[in-house]
Amino acid sequence: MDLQTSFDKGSFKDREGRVFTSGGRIFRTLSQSAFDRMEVLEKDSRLQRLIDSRALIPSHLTTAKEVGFDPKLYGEVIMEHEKVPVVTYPYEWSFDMLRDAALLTLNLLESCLEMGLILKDATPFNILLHKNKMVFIDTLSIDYYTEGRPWEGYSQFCREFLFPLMLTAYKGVEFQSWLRGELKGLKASDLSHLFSWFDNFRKGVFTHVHLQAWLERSFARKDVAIRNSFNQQNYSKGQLLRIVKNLRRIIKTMRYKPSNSEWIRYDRENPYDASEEEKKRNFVQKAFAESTLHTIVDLGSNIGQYSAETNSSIKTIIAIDKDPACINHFYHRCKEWNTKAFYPVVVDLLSPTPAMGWGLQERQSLFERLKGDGFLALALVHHICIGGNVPLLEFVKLLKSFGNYGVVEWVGKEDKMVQRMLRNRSDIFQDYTWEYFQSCLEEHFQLSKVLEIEKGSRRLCIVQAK
Amino acid sequence: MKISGLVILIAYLDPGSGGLLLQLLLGGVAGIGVLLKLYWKKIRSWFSKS
Repeated sequence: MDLQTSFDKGSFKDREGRVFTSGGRIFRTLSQSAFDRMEVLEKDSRLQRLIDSRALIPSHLTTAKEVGFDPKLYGEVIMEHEKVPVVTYPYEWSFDMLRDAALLTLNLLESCLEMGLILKDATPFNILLHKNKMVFIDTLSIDYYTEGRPWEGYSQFCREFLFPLMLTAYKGVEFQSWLRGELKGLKASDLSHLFSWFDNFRKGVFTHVHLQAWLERSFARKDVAIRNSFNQQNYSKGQLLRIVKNLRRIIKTMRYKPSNSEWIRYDRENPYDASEEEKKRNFVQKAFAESTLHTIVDLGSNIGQYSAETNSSIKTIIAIDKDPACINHFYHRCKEWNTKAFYPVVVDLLSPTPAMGWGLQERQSLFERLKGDGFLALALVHHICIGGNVPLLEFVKLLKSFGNYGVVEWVGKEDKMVQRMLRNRSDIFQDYTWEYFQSCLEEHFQLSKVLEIEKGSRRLCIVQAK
Repeated sequence: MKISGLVILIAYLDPGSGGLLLQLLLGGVAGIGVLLKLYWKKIRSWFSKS
């Protein structure tokens, strides 16, 4: 028997093994060299030690036959990994998510070095949020350490972890759109132009940015064999560990100071009455109280104050918000909760994550990855339809793509926040009315319950797909 | 054609080399020595070209 399988399009560059899925399980093919290495590391428990420390995703070797695959197609021995149900990318993470992923990489590298191993590369795409904690998923990145060898992943670590973090911590610029613009991360030379002379006083800027950029400029065009120099110099593990410690020190001292998060402010200075707020909270809780849903997508989640409190049978919450500060705040709250798996995502629904990379298939778009069976869209409609000029019917179609059941809040033109949005622009939104919104909803859903709040300027609706 | 020559050079840039050299430098005094040697080679290559 051969089960239906599909190869993950993001792992095709790895010559040692490709990830594939089958029956909801995650497997990886193994080249001969990868199999030899993994067999040794499994037998001598080095892999298990990394798994036990919760740094590495639980994985084990198995035979293709045992799980029902044709060995001619997948090889005699394959690796099975524990499944991470939701995949989010580094450009959808907040500052502290990327910071934690960076520290995980450095800690894992240090543990590897202590066991005579090394990480071949250093990209945040090797890390996923799993059970509310960052975990390393690319087991084949673990290789034998050879004395005198440099860390091949150093430049990649700088481009994909250190520089985006510096951009946000030192210059106050959120890194997400920069990382989304360049899958290989930020260049040392670009960052070097961005940092002023005064920035040299900030940890790591002179060495890892300016000096690296200067060395790159000076030698990259010269035909010199730099790698040989490491052997000549007897480059030791201790020297490599010093660099790891230095990077960790720099990253640990970095702090996220969001300057302009209107959404966190909004949550604190909520202009609405507390009793109305309570009504809203109760309505949402009741709407999901008896549901058999498994995954809810909270659109415009803010700090997740409504979705986090839903029925305990709902096991997964995907919280999407365009404000990195809100998602960062939510991420810290998630770490304290063990009742559900939370996936905070920084995404502006008006400019969602596109498909990227080789053949536009290497990295999937937001809609290919993030799906639920229910949704929550509270205080979102005016941002999308007035703030973003999106027709109401398109907004309703978007809701449907995230689930068949949900709660959506209507925010009318008489609402204080909408009036604020329209204060300095002409009102071209003649069809932005409750009656038209209701007809749009009824085109795709059955409207089962409506509750008026804020003197009718807002309405909470429970909808079920037809 | 200077411009096309420049384009070719940039296309062959090895972005990892700066990182490797920096690791040598951070490695300590011996690393600085190796780097100076590489620089000396670079300076010599200017004269040999002319």
